[in-house]
Amino acid sequence: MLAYRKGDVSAFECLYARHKDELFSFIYRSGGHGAAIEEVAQEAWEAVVRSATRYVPSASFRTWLYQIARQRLADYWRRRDNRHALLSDQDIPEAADSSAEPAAEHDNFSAIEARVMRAIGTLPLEQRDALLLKEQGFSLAEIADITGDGQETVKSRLRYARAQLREQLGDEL
Amino acid sequence: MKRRKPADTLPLPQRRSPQELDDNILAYARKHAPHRRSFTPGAWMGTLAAAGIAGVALLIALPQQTQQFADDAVRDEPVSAALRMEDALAPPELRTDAPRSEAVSVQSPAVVAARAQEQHLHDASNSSLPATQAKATLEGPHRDSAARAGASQATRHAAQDKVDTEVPAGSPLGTQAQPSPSAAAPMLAESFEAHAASLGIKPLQSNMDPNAHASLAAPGDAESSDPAPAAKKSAPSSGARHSTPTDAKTDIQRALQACRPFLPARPAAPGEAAQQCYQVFKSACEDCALPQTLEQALEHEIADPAPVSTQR
Repeated sequence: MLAYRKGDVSAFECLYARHKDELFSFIYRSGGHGAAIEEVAQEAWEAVVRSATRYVPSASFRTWLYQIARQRLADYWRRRDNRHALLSDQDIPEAADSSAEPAAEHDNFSAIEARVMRAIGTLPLEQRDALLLKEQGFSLAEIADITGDGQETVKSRLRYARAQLREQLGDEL
Repeated sequence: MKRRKPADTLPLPQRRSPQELDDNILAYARKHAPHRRSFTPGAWMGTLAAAGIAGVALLIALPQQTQQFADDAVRDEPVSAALRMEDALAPPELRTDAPRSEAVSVQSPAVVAARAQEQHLHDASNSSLPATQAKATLEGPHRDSAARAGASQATRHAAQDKVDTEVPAGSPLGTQAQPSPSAAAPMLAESFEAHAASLGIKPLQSNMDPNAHASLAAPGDAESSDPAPAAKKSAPSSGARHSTPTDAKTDIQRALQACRPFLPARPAAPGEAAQQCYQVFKSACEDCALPQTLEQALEHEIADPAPVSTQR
């Protein structure tokens, strides 16, 4: 990011290639669907480009990127008033159709994923963010930096979120 | 769609970013990429600020330094102060012009001496002033008393001797305010020529430029605007030897008369007078044309001293 701040476009391309799919998946899991995912992802990356000159390497770029993505998601939910929107039943087959994997395995994973996504959709927003960020591989400290909460708070939210998912999904986890 | 299911993670869907979205974002990033800057604005401002501060400091320090030099010149040169006091007390016809007085107060001893020599040259060539006044003008503190009283030749010699005794021994030019002979060499050479002309000495041939010393001709010829006739009157050519012992003696006599005002003290022996006179000519003409016949005559006199009169 420091190289891109100095005008090196190839540095940004390398950065984008490293984080684009991971961020896109996070936005998808956070409740977006259809064109909204691409809209939020594009807004997040454009915000990164605009903020490049003000970037200060106080934390990792990944942490900074997910802070921006969460802000864009919050803005999107406020605009569309679909903050609590869940994945509809139509989205799951659409996602499954784009898969190139074998049908049996595809159906199996799609069903599991659909149930997990529905269960995640029932979680409170703070618990869902903490759980999804943890699934992205962030540590408690990094999640605390991204969300702006304390580590103990994040730890508590994660515990409640897993308990609720275990209650809903049972043996499927 | 890429799927994986680690043991400690939830079975969540993985999504790849669409190619169209990638192209849009990368195009946006290229379009809005920060410009490469070889020199950042902060560096520009820092450089400009430093240059401004340096300029202001220079403007402040320069007048103070000039004033310091002026103070040092006044403090270190009592001769300059005496000259300025004399200028203030002297009658208008003997008083030097105001710019010169101001310049003397801030200039180095070499410049002060050169000014004195120049004044002497001017006075010597000016027929309206008596010779005593012209001589007194050259010799500084004693000039006014001699000029005002219309002093006789003996009085002028006494003043000259008094000045000479004040000069430190070993000074080849015979003046304390003349630190470097080479610095005042051209001025001293011109002064010698003018003094020789005032004494009626015939012109001496230069070994560099025959016309350069045309002013050594007789007083009437020295004021001639055309140097060619004077050059034609020059006696021996460059490198010529004396034809008779009488000619050589005459040349030595002329040389000693001409350079006597520039000698540090009255010589004790004829050979010493020639030695000192030769040093005066060598230091005066180090960077200028030297009258070669005169040089040869002095060299001959130094090698074989003869009882030549050094009266002025």
